[in-house]
Amino acid sequence: MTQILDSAVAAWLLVGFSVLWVALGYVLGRRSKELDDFMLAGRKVGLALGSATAMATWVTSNTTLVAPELAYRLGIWGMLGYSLGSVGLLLFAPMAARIRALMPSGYTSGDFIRLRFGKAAWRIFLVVSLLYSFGWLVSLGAAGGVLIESLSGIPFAIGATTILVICVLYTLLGGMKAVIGTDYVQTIIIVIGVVIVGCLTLTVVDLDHVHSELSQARPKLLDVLMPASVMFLFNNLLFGVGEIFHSNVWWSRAFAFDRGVGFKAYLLAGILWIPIPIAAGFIALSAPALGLGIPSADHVGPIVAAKILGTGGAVLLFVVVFSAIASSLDSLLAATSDLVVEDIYRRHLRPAASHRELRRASSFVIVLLGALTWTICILDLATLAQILHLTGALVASTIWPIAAGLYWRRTNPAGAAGAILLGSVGGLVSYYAIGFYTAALVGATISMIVVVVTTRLRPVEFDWDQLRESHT
Amino acid sequence: MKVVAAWMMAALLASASAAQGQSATLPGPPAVSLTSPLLDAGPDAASRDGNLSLLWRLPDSLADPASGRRSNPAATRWSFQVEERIGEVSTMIDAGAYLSTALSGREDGVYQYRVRALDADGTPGPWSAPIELRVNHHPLWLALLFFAIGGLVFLATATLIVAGHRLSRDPSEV
Amino acid sequence: MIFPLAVLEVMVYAALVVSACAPVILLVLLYRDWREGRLW
Repeated sequence: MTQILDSAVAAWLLVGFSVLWVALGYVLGRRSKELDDFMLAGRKVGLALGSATAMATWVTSNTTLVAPELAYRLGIWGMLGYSLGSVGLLLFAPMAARIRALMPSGYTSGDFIRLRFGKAAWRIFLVVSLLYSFGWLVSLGAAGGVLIESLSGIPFAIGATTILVICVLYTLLGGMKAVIGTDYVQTIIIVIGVVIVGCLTLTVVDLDHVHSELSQARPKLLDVLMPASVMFLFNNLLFGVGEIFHSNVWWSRAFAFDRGVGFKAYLLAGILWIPIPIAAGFIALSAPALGLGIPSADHVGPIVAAKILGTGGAVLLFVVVFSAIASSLDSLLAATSDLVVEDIYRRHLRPAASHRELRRASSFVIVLLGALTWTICILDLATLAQILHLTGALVASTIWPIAAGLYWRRTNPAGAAGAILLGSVGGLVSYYAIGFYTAALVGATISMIVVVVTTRLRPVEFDWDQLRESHT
Repeated sequence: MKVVAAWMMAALLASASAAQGQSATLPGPPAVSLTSPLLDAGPDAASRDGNLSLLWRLPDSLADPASGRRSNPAATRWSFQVEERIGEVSTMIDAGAYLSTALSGREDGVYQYRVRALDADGTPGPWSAPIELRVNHHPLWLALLFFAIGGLVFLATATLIVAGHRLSRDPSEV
Repeated sequence: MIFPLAVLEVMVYAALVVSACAPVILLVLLYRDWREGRLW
């Protein structure tokens, strides 16, 4: 794989931004001593920071690297389908408001499932949630290593280690405020970078030429009825909805945002996220028009950017993807640590733990998660990306239990637990029997049916006040 | 800018030395052998989404005796050209200096591929033995079925949330 | 049936315009929150 960015330049960028994030994180979060400050930024985050963190966290390396890949492989629908990932954010907007209203002293998504549906559902949910968190953590660490290596030749191990270490460091130093503060800066960088690369691409490449070249050489990419992409469309959407609905990354934000902010922040983030996959993805469609050899689809983004924009483009891409990875990794480390500390450490092992003890446990767990992620990344298990795909069935099966649990008073708790279980199993079967692009769809469908049928047959009344659990 | 200039210098030097070497001892671009992951998937395997991957290997004689790796050394910098043939129509595809290429957006059909190396002057080497790959898109009815089911689940979910949001709204819960 | 050129153009231009507005919106909101002491 030919190197696009000079190793020395890349190393300087890596070091420079690492110092920036760690310094920023330290400064922003150094007063977060109390548990609620460390875990939930004091529960008063405003609209600007709130929207930015929601957006930054959902713009992952996938958005910036996979969007071009999907455009290259699945054409226009691939790109548009990816934009449908914003639906998860948009649908979560009203839910974020409801979560904060129903659980003013809540900490995690696990808290909700436990109080709403009982211990069985809670434990099944935790398994799903932790598997997904690890799948995402590992894929982010690996993406960091791969990106840095493919763009600059710096070995995978060094790149992955650097990214993991700095994210662990500033999350440790400053907690959620460090995460949210750096997310804001990273959002600005990501969006400006994507816009610049996109606009510069348009000065070099003519959409008319791109379109005619595609219709000649790669007609299926422009086909409105391209079977594979039509099939993936709602599977992608439901995968994204499942990811957002269940993951503590988004719930912790719902708890951290000030009253009245959650709805607007998620709505704004969702709307602003929609164009990102298109702006990042369309450059891949110009590869045929430019006569570029593309060795494999997952390299199309960096190759086109570098070809069109030279070293400058490669630098921009490097900075953008690095920011995208960091902004998701820090959120994930913090939120998963919250989940482990609250739902496993406190609720299973040490119910009488003081806030100070929990605060210390949070730090320890962040480091532990970083170390575990690093270990799995370095072992270079080739199936990493596949793990994340597998979680599609699992996370999509939580959609209806969570939505129905939040809005219906009579959702059957055993039905909710069963829905997650059966949906996950059904989705996994479908994954192997039919294909990975059906897992989330099947999981969500089975889960929905189970929730609706059990609630119809045996509704169970629930008092919303049971969710107002005090933490002291 | 410096980096770009340095790269260009290196490229010029490389092609100069390659041209020199050619007149002396280098035999010209090597024959390459062509394969595809799709062929490993079985005799009836077809691409279901119009995506095809081609991989090629330089001959053993160019392998590094220590590691056994065959790479495309900067000194010679071969580039590669793929010929795609469907029916009577033949297209040349520039595959750059890589040892693989990813093609996409193909329609249903049987495609024949062969590849050859080009040296820095554009002189071609011999063609590889051809391989045949099939594209057979998923049936449209299946795709639309998934689309419909997914659409229904999505609409039901959105309705649940929007309706729930409307019903639960009261001044204390903004 | 293929997506016409016009669709591709509208999609790409709209995407770039909206994306370009995003940092502006976020910066304005940040300033407003900061002035009103509602940052976090």
